[in-house]
Amino acid sequence: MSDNSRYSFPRLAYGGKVSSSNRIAAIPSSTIHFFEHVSVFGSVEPYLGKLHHLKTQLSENELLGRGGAAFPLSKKIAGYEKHRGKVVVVANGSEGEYLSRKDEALLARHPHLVLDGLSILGSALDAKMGFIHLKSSKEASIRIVQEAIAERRGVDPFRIEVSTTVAGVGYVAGSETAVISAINRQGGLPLYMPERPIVRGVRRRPTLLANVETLAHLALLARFGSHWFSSIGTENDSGTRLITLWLPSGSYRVLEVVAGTEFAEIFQAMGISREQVSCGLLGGYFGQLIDSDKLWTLRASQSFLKSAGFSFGAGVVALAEGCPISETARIINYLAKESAGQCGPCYLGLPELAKTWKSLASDNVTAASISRVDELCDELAGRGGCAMPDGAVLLARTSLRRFRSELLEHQGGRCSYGQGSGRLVPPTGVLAAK
Amino acid sequence: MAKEVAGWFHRPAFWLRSDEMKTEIAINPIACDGHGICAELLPELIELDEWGFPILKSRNLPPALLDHARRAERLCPTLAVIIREY
Ligand code: SF4
Ligand code: SF4
Repeated sequence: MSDNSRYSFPRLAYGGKVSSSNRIAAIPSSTIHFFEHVSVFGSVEPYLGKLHHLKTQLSENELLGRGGAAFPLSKKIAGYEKHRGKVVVVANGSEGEYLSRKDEALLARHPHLVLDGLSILGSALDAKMGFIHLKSSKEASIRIVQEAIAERRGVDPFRIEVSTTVAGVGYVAGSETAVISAINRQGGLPLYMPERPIVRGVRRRPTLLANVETLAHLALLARFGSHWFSSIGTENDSGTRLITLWLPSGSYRVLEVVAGTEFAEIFQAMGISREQVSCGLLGGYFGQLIDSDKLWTLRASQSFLKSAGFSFGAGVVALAEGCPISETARIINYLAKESAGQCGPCYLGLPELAKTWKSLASDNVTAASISRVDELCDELAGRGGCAMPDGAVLLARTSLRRFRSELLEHQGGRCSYGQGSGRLVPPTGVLAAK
Repeated sequence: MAKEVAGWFHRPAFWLRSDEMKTEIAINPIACDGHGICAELLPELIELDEWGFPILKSRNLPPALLDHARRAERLCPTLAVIIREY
């Protein structure tokens, strides 16, 4: 076993600039090629094909999935154990959440850590075939991954194919069944697959999907052990995680932070003061808009956020400077446009909600329009074929509650923030490929 | 193209099982086109929203309403009314 203490932090941001507190690091953009990868982390071969070893390590500490659902990897593996030998493993790097960039940054830096993770997981389950699923809009990262696969011929115990998804199918493109449907060339939209775990997925085989960040963590965990893994972080949430932090200026940083790091510390390290920020979107489009005072008290830990009633999703924190009511209006409007147009309550109700909410962002807010939002939320909750309307309803409800004082200001014809730049939503045209 | 039904729609949690409850009704929102026939046949359980799409008041289907529910299931033009017995 290699010298453990060397990589305590940073881990995935190996080689990146570290903050003075030694809890935040930026992912460098250059790619680590195979030779350097092996000399830094050591070869993956001793850790291949060891299901038992892997299970012990995962049982000693929970490695939660980093794709958004935070499902423990150990439980996922357990579901596929009886299908050993038939499993297909898929590294999911398609990042359906528009605001998330961490998977892309990780793949550009550490394709080999992700591939190591895929090999460790796949070989433990006797898989014969692996896939790595990417966004097709990112040609550069597809090339990096293809080169990485070519570099490691002979190391991987199975054939790895790169599959891509057409960018712009929106947030649903990253979901499990949509990825399977894309790999099978069935259109890349969510499919009806009632069984869990999925026993008839890619090529009609049992299919295990794991987020690329999860796999990169796994590659390190398998090498250095669970004791090393949980040597940093909090009790309930060990190790580190990648986050995409959108600055009020509209640019973003992908950071690796030690689990449990205070948001205040992260913002400070990025040079953001509370005065610059009116609110922030936590967890992406299916998350909530939070006022800056609250945001500054939170911590980068899934368990902490969960107990505070939030979710980290895929690790998105997007800061805004505009009026929270206007920011909410833009996000709901975006979601309404994203509707796949299949369910009435979604394609009729969401535009209505967006329209009503937009009137709250103007200066003729009436009590009637506020109660109309309430009414629409009650009417739309749980009425879609997927979680889309629920995402918009959650955002509308929580923003309504949290920013009520601002609404009262609007009622008096004032706004404390101004319109803002609207950078939380994609500029029109980004989704034109749809 | 056949309309696919979202996965969660078919997961047991969606159907809110309870021990006594034996028959449940659901509407597949992806298939439903808002014809409103179901609400006419089963006003006790289904009302229409402002766009004419059905809102289920309860998933529990009491035996007294089973016949009406079956009619709705049969007559819904998009086969969106689903009755499940456990
Ligand atoms: S709720 Fe229905 S129409 Fe809306 S995105 Fe989901 S499946 Fe499509
Ligand atoms: S009859 Fe069928 S299509 Fe019409 S509203 Fe009812 S469920 Fe929808």
